[in-house]
Formats: sequence, C-alpha cells, structure tokens
Amino acid sequence: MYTAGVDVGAITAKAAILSDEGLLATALILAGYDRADAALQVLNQALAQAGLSRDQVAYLVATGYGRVQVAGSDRTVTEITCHARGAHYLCPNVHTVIDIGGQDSKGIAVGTGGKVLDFVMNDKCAAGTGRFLEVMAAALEVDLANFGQFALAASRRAKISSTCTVFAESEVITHLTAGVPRKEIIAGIHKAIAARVATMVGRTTVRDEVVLTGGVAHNAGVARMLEEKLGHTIIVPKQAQLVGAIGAALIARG
Amino acid sequence: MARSLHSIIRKLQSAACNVQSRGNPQPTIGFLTTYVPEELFHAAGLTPIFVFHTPEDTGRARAHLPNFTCWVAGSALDQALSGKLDGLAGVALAQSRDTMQGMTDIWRRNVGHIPLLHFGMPLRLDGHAARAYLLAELQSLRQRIQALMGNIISDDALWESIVLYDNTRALVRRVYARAADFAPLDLYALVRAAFQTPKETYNKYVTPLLEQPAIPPDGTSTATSARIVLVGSELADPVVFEVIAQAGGRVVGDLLDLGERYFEGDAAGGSKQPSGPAATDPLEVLRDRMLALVPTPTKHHALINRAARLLSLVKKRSADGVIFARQKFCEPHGFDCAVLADALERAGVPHLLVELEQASQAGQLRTRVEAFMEILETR
Repeated sequence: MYTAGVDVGAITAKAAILSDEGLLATALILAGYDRADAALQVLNQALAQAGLSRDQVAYLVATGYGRVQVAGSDRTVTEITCHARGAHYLCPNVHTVIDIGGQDSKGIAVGTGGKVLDFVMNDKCAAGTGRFLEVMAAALEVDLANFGQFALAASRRAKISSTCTVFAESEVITHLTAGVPRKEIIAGIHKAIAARVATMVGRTTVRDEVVLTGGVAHNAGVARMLEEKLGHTIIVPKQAQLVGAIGAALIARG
Repeated sequence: MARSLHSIIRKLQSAACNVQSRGNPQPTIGFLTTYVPEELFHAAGLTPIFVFHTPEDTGRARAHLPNFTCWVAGSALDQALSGKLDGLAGVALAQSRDTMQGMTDIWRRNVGHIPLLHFGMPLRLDGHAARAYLLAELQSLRQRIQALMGNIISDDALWESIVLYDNTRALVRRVYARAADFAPLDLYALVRAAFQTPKETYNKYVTPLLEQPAIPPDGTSTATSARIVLVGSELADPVVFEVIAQAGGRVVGDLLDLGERYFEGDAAGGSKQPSGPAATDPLEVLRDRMLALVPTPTKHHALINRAARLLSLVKKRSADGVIFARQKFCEPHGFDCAVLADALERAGVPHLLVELEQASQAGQLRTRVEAFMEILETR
C-alpha cells in the first residue's frame, strides 16, 4: 500500500510517499501565493519520483497551515502531531521535537510511538522563526544558506538584546555603524533566536533525544546555539524539512 | 428538533437586535461587568443587556486608553464614542477590576450623554463587611436608578423581576446540563442570547426547547467527540467555539466570567417571593446571590475556590480537557490560569492555553486547538 503526506507551510510545500517498505519519495517546492496549486505540484513531483499515479495512493493526509487547501486529502492533521510522528520515525528515541519553520516555532514533547504529550508554540510574532533569519540575512546581504556558517566562524557575538524582528534590525544597523564585524553581528542574531526558542521550548519538558526540524534546522548556527542554551545535544535529521510530510504519510498508513 | 433549535436561536437573535435598535420604545441599559444586579434595572422598567466587545475598532478609544488595556473595556468605550450605544438609556458597571474603575472617569468625561451607573463591588466576597458594603451600594444604586427613570422601584416589582431572572437562570443551567447535546456554536448562541434578549422573551422561547426529551444529533457529534470545559472571561468571540466544533469537539461547560457561573443560584430560592413577617429585603437577596457566585479572578472568597470548582465541573461533565481562552492583556486571568493549570496538572487533566485578540484569527488558534484534540484522542 502507498500512502502520502503533504505539508503546506508558510514558505514551502513538502510531500512524502511511503510504501510498505518505507520512505519511497519526497519533494519540496516554494509554496508561493497559490497554496492549493503548490500542494498539487509538490504531490505530483513526489509521485513522479516514486513512479506512481495519484490513484495508486490509498490514503493522503494533509498537514501544515495550508492543510485545508490540499485537494483530495482524506484527512487533515496538525503539523504538531505530524512532526512528532515523523521525527519518531527518523529518530526512534526522540522525546523532544523543536520545529522552526518560516512562520512559527514549536516545542513538542514526544511520548511512546511518536505521540504528542504536550506542545508549545510561538505567538504571532516573527521572532524565533525562519522569517527573522531571512530579514536579518537580507539586511546584512548574506545568502541565507550561508548565514549559519558565518555565525559559527565568529569568535565573539554582538549583543542583540531585542527578539523583535523590527527592533533587532535597527540594533543590527547600530552595530554596523559602530564598526562591529558582520560575522559577530550574525553570531549575535543566532544567539538571540536560540535564546527565544529555548525559552519557549523550556515551557515544556525537554528530554533527550532532541530533534530539530523545519527549514531552520539546516542552519548549523541555530542548532549549535540551541545546544548551548538547552544543554542538550541537538539531532538534525537529513530530511529535517520533510519531517511533517513524512509524519503525515505515516499517519495515513494508520 | 434541530430545525426548531435554530429557529429559536434566530428568534432570540432577532429579539436581541430589536432591543438594541434605536426605535425600541422600551428603555435599555447596557452593562459592562460580570457583577450587575440586572433585576434592579428590570424592576425600574429597563431592559438590561450586556455590551459585548466587537471585532470592529474605529480607534476612538485608543485616544483614552493605553494599547495594553483590556480590549473588552476598550471596545465598549469605542462603541460609545462612535455613537453605537446612543440608543441606551444608560450604562451600568461594577468595580470589578482596575480597568473598569478607570473607565468610570473616562466615560463621564467623554460619553456624558450616556448616563453611567457605577457601583462598588467588594474585593473580598465573604464576611460581614462585604455584606454590609454591597447592601449599601445596592441601596445607593436603587436610588440612582429611580432618579434616572423618574419612578420608584417597589419591592413588589423587584420581587417579580427576581422571580423572572431566577427562571432564566434555571433555564440556562438546564442548557449547560445538556451542553454536550448542542453543537458548540448553538450552545454559544443560546447562552449569549441570555445576556442580550429580554428575559421574558428568552424564557418564552427556551422553555419549550428544553421540555423536549432530547436534542437530536446534529451530525457533528460522535461518541468520541472530545468534551471540553472552557475557562476565561467573556463569551463575546465565537471563534473558540468555532474551532472546537471544526476539530470535532464539544463544549460541555465553562468557568467563563460571563458564562455558567453568571447563572448560578436562585436569588429567591424558589418561584415565589417570601411572605409574612420574615419577608426578606429583596436587595439582601440580590446581594447574597452576588456574593455567593464563584468569584471572578479579581475577587476573593475564602470558601469558594475556583480551582476546586473547575475540577468539580470537569468531573461532573466527564470532560476530557480544559481550554483556557484568555483575552490578551487580561492579567487577572493570566494569574488565575497559572493556579488553575497547576490544579489540573495535579489531577491529570489535560489543558491548553490560547490567547484571544480583539479580532481573533482562526488560523493559529485552530492549529493549537486541533493539536490539543489530537492529544486527547490518543490518550
């Protein structure tokens, strides 16, 4: 039996196809403004990669903010439940999932079999999310893909006291005019986001293994500074950005 | 039955609109706080209705209140400043919390054309001092209502109003006892109508509804629907009920300031006023009922504990979990939430805190509530 999961997030749409043997195919695209179309496209890409047609998929679970816009889904499940399930599949000893996406961040306490025991989410604020990093990378004219490496290369970290994206940007400008090296500012930005996320995640119980998921998981600087803040080793699965979609496909399997 | 239920809800909503229309010959008084002796206004010939917040914001109140002020109060002021409350004969509020206390001065300076009837409500609700203080406040309020209306509130008229309100309270309690039978938005509409329609109308329509033996399933209820108790301040925003419904849950009870607790207890203790030499002062009866309500987070009663009441409600209604629907910037409920959450933790009752804004967005709220329901499903 083949099952599929589609995760339509704030910035990207992801799809995963599972067979009885395991993960068969995945796809990831930018979600753009037409979420319904993005869901269709990403699913078709994953199907093409798996060499399947849509009618060969027995069950489709949609997740993410755009979950209600996924045409033909059999069920919608929140990304919180899907990330827990997906992380458990990839890292069976997981007890805490930290998901940092484009629009929000979450801390999820995970129990047996990938069940959600508790969760915390950020409020409606870009601080502590991928958007914060995007804005800062743009302000400092650094490619987002290299942003984390800049942070790790710094020997000192500039102090970014505000976790508000708007105010932090003005702090960055102040540091620049004071001649603070760019990588030190970038390190300070990463420290600020890690502090914000760690504080939020601290409202639930943090236990090893701690798995970092979502697009920001690929930023090594955030992962390192989260480790420092939390005092736990952070595991970043290779498919960190696809964990929600994988979890959805697993839930589709029943 | 479902059709009859919706038809009754529509009639109640229409009655609420008529009460608030400018052409309504019956004078109407708006109230803003969770402690108001509605019967006293009713006995004077007024129709009391609660002024709920609305998601619309003209910005007029912002000139008078800081941004972090409770927007329930801010919305009432905004509605008044933009002329939406001009049809009211007055507005009543108790000293229920600091914001409302501050509102009295702002109101008198800026909305002078709508008379304000303000009365003190003790912080500590038990003890002789509270009883004496509130009685004196109610006596003063009675005189001010009489001056506003130009008539005398007789004891007989007050007793009649108390009996009428007791009947409404009994009906709302029966609605709550069967809360799980109603779709969340229908429950919301039925309870909200009790704050906004004349009690005569409410009793007339809701009595026959509840005389029917069962509320047939509305198609959304299942045996596995998660049973939720809501905690918070007012009942203004249907968005929480909406997302609970969308997630397949039921609201089986609440500890909202303007919810189940508001309709607790009969004032007259039965359907008739006391008679004979032992006849009680109706103001004392009103006072005793107000003091015996489950206190809101800004009040204290040595013998009535909010956490114990919540746990008892959870048990009585076989609730699966509790959702704290806290209005942003409402500090009393923020402090209260921590205490109640601790009690729920110790009792092993799952709970979720969501923050509501003046114009709540369903998106993130929906994710939180759905995820909570998913946790409940797997327990």
